[in-house]
Amino acid sequence: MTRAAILVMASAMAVQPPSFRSAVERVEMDVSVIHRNVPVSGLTANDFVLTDNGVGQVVESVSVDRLPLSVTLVLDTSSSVSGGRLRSLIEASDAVLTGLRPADRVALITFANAIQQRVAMTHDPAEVRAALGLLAGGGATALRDAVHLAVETSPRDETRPLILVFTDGKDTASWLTRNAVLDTVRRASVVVHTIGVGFDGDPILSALADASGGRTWSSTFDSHLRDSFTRALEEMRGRYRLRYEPVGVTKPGWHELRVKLRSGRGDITARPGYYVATEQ
Amino acid sequence: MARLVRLLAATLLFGSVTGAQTLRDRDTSVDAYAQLVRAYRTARAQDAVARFASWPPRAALNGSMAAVATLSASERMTAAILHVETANVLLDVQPFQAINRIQTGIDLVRAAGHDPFGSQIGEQPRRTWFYVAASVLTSAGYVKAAREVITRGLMFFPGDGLLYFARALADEHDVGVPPGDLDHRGGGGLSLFVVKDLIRAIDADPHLAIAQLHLGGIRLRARDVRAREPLEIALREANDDGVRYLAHLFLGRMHEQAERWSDAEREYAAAFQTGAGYQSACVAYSNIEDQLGHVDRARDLAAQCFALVGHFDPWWDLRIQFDRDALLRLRAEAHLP
Repeated sequence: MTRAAILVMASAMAVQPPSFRSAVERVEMDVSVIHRNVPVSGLTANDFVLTDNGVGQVVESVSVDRLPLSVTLVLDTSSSVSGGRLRSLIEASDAVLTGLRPADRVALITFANAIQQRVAMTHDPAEVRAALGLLAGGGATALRDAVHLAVETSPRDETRPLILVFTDGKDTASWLTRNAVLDTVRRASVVVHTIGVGFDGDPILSALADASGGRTWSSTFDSHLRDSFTRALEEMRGRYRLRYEPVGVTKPGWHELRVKLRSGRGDITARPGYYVATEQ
Repeated sequence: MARLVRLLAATLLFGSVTGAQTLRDRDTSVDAYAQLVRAYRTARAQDAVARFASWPPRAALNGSMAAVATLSASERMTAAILHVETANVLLDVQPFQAINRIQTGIDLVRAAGHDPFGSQIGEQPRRTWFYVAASVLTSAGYVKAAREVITRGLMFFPGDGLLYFARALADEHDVGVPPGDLDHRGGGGLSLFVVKDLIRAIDADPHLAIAQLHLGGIRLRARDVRAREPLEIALREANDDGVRYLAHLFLGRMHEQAERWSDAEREYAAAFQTGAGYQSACVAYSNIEDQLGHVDRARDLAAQCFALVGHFDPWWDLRIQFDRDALLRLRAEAHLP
C-alpha cells in the first residue's frame, strides 16, 4: 500500500499551493514510514523509490523534518459529544497542546451545525486551552464543511500544516459532498489525521486521511482519545521529507505519486498525488 | 439525527425555565390558560411557550377544553398556535406531551371558526396550522402522527396544496434520505409518491415556492435535467429569503453536476448574498472558487464563513424537513401590536 503525502513547491513561491501552476520545479512530500507501529528511522534518499505519473524520479534529499507545525484542531461538538466524551476530548486536545514546541502554532475549530473558529492560529496554547474549557455539545454534524474551512484557512507558509479532525458520528448537516471535500484536500498541501471514537464513525474519515497522506485512528473507548491524539502528533514529528525535481512529467492535471522502500520493511503513508493546473 | 437541531432549540428554550418552579403547585385554572394565550399574543411569545411547556398535561388539557367554551375565536386560534409551537420544543424531550398538545390543538382550530383573525386573512391560518403541525411532527420523526394530522387537515380543507406538500414531506421521511442530501441517490418507488404529492401541491397552488423547491431537490438528487424548471419557479415565486437562498444553492449544485462551473459560481454567489448570509452558501461559494483555481478568493471566503456562525441557516431546517418560517408566520398572524 502506497499512499503519498506531498508538498509541492515552485521555487519562486514556495508557500503557494500546488494546484494552479504549470511548471512545478520542485516537489516536497511528507512520508511516514512505520514498521510494527514504530516509526522507522535512519533512512536516506537511496532507500526510497519514487514515481511521478509512472516516471521514475531521483529523490535528491531526505530529512526528518524539523520545521515547526501549524496544527488545526477540528473538533466535533455536536449533541453526542457531551459528558464523559467531551471531557475526554478536551483532555486529549490538551495533551496535543502540551506536546507542541515553542515554534509550533495551533488553532481551534469546532463544528456542530455551525462551524466556529474558536481560536485563530496562535503560538499561545493557553488561548486554545481556555477555549477548550468553554466547549459544550449541541446540534448536528457538519463534518465535511468544517474540513473544507479548516483546509482553506490552514497556513500557507514555511510551517507544516497538520489538521487533526475528531468526530464520533456521521455527517448530518454539511452542504459539501464527499467528493467535493476530498478534492479540496487533494488540492491542498496539508496532512489530515482523523480520529474517530465508537463503532459507527463516518467512513469519510479514512478517505480524508488517505487523500492527504494522513492516518486514521479509531478509539473504541473515550478514554483512548488522549492516546490517539498524541500518537497523531508524534507520527507527524517522525515523518521524512522527500525532495525531488520532477523530470519528464510536465503536463498539467493530476500527478499520481508512488513511493516505496527499495529494501527493508515498512508501511509508507504519503499523499497519493498532486495537481498541476494550466497557466491562468 | 433529524432531532439534533430540534434538541438544540429545545435546550436553548428550556434553559430559560430550568430551575423555575413547575406548574404542579401553580394555579392551572382556566384563567391562567387564558392569560397565557393573551401573553403569547401580545407579549414575548417565546416566554409564553416556555411557560406552557412546563405545564402538566392535565392542566394543559383542562385549559384548552375550557378555552373552546370561553375564549373568543381569535383567542382559540392563538391558543392552537401556542400548542403547536410548544409541541415543537417539547418533541425531543417529552414526545407524548408534545403530540398531545397538537392533538388538543386540532379541537381548538376546529372551534376557531372560518376566519378567526378576520375576514381579510380568512381561513389561511387554519390551513397553515395543520401544515406546521405536520412539519413539526415529521421533522422529529413522528411520521405516523404527522399523517394523522394531515388527514384531519384534508378533511377540513380538501385539495389543499400545502397539506399535499406536508404529506410529501412525511412520505419522504420514510425514504430515509433527507431532502437536502443531494449526494444520495435513493428512494426508489416511494419517491414516486412524494413527487405525485408535490405535483398535486403545485397544481393546487402553482405559486407554492417551497413545493417547487422540494420537487427540484428530488429531481436534482436523481440527476434529472427537469430539476431546473421547478427551482427557477421557486426562485421567482419565493416570498422569503429562505426559499430564495435554497433555490440558489440547489441551482448551484445543478450546475456543478453538469460541470458548468462559472454558472455554479454565479448561483453560489447569489445564495451567499441572499438574506443574512448563511454559512452553507459561504462554504459552497468558497469551494467552487477553489475548484476554479481562484485560490485567494476561496481562502478569503473561508475566513468570512466563520463570521456567519450566528445566523440560523435554512439549509439545516431543510435537512430535517422543518419549515421554521411557516411557524414564525403563523405566530406573526396571531400577534397583536
